[in-house]
Amino acid sequence: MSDKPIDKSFPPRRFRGIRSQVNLFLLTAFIGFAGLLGIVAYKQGMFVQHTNVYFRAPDATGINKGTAVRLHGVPVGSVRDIQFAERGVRVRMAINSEYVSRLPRGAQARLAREGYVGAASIHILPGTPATDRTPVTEGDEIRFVAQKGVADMLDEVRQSLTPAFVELRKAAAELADPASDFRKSVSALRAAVEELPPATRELRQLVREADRTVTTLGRQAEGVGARAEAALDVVARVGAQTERELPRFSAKLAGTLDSLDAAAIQVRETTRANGEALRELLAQAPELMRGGNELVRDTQELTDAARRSWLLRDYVEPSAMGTLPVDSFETFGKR
Amino acid sequence: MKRLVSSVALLLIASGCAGPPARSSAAARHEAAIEANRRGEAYVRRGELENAARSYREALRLSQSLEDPDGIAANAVNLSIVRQRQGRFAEARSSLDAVLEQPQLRFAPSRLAEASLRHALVDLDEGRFGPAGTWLARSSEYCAGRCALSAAIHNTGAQLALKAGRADEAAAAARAAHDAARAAGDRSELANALRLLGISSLHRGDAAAARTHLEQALALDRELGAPRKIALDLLALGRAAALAGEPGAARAYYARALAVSEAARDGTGAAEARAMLDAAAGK
Repeated sequence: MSDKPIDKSFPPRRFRGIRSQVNLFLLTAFIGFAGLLGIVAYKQGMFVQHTNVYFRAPDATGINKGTAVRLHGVPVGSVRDIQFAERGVRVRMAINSEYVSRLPRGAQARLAREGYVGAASIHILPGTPATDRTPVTEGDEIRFVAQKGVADMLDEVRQSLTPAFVELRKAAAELADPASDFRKSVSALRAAVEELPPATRELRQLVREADRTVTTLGRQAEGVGARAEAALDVVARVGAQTERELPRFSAKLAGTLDSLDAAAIQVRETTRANGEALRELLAQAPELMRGGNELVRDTQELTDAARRSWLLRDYVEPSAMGTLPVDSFETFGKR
Repeated sequence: MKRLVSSVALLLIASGCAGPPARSSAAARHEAAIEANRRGEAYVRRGELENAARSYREALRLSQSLEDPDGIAANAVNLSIVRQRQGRFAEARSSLDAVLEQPQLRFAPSRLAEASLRHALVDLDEGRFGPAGTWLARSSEYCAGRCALSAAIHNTGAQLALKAGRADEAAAAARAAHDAARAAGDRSELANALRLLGISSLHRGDAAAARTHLEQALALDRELGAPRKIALDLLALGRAAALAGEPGAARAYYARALAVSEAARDGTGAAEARAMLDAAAGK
């Protein structure tokens, strides 16, 4: 067994060039890491120039750092900072400078959500032609408007319906007023109906008297016929026939008048019943109107309560304070 | 241990259902102010000026109770517009005191410019041209030549110059208003500026230039749907036609102005048109 001395100046064959390989590996790893950092920074928009634009909101609910800012639905920046300000918050948005020329000073910011459970984002409304159209610059402040809520829409409906309710109430009040034309007409009709039975009685009395007169005349005619039977035979026959027919006719007429009397009584009863029903309805009309008003008020209170609930509050915000346009010719027409 | 874990889990679930505390009284008052403001706007649209004034006064009171400068300024300006339309100039002016006489509150310069301009317009309407000029200058200072009201300020200056008989100065102001309105895309003030340019040309005896400007103003006012201004344009066009020696055309313009004013139930405009028509007919 011969012991061969080990030459320590040379590493084993399998480790030759290991240093350069390790260096190459580390360099590749470093370049890869730097590239990854660069891609992340690019994606985060660090190489894009931004312009800071601000808005003030009474409430920052739903607005967070990083919340997307959209113009016509296109992402143009994000929320960078939220600071407390007088009666609310001041929000700093970093807008991609490429899009700043499309953002006029009269633009308005609005908090919106994609559906009811979607992510919140700030939507920029470019404003109307009447507002300031010059592009925003660094540090400018735009207005914040809240979304129109369910209560606002209900309020508009209420405002539209109120005149109709008022008119209805006026009509009901007129119907209930004893001095109104309608009530006068009903009273006159009732008076006319009430006068019908006496008239019927007088008519029946007249017919009875006519019957009696005719009977008397028949008897007298019989007496005269006895004395001038031959000459007035025809007249006697006619008289007798008349005497036979007239009572039957009179009875029929009396029956008809009785029926008319009964019908008049029935009409009077019906009218009285209808009048009472109408009076009751008129008495209830103001109560119904009050009920309607209370219903509207209750609905409004319910809506307000729902609006204040944690589930809806983020989505239903009050509108901004409106200003009537200041017109330099407000005066000129009144010279 | 199991019970403790269950209790903690239940507590976590319950805390998920809990909402933040109820809204403060300030928020409720702010909402009430906005509601009153919106009611006022609706009344103005329907022409119910007294109800509108009541709503704006309520909104102003609520905003003052919160020391909300933006709300105070908006409602004070709205109230002054409504009172001016009612012809109640003193109240129109006093409503603006809520902005102009409150040094302890910090209003935005644009709001101060707006309120000062409103004051100038009320004074101009009442024939108080001196104070109107003072308030207009103050508005111009607040605006610093770079605000949304620039065109309206120049147009008001043009009207004051016309009242003073300085047609050239009025034309220069109207031209500045024209440029500012065009830059801002404000069509209403653009139409006003064109009308004032036309009237200035009339004062200088240039019927052709007056017609050009007034016809442009008329086209814009038609687009905007402003009957009172359409009638004013037609009256001025009638005067331009009369100046050009076309009495028939002038009468036709006056008759159109009369028809527009009557249809819009503008008694003052109708009376003015009728007077011009009678004068043209030689009555």
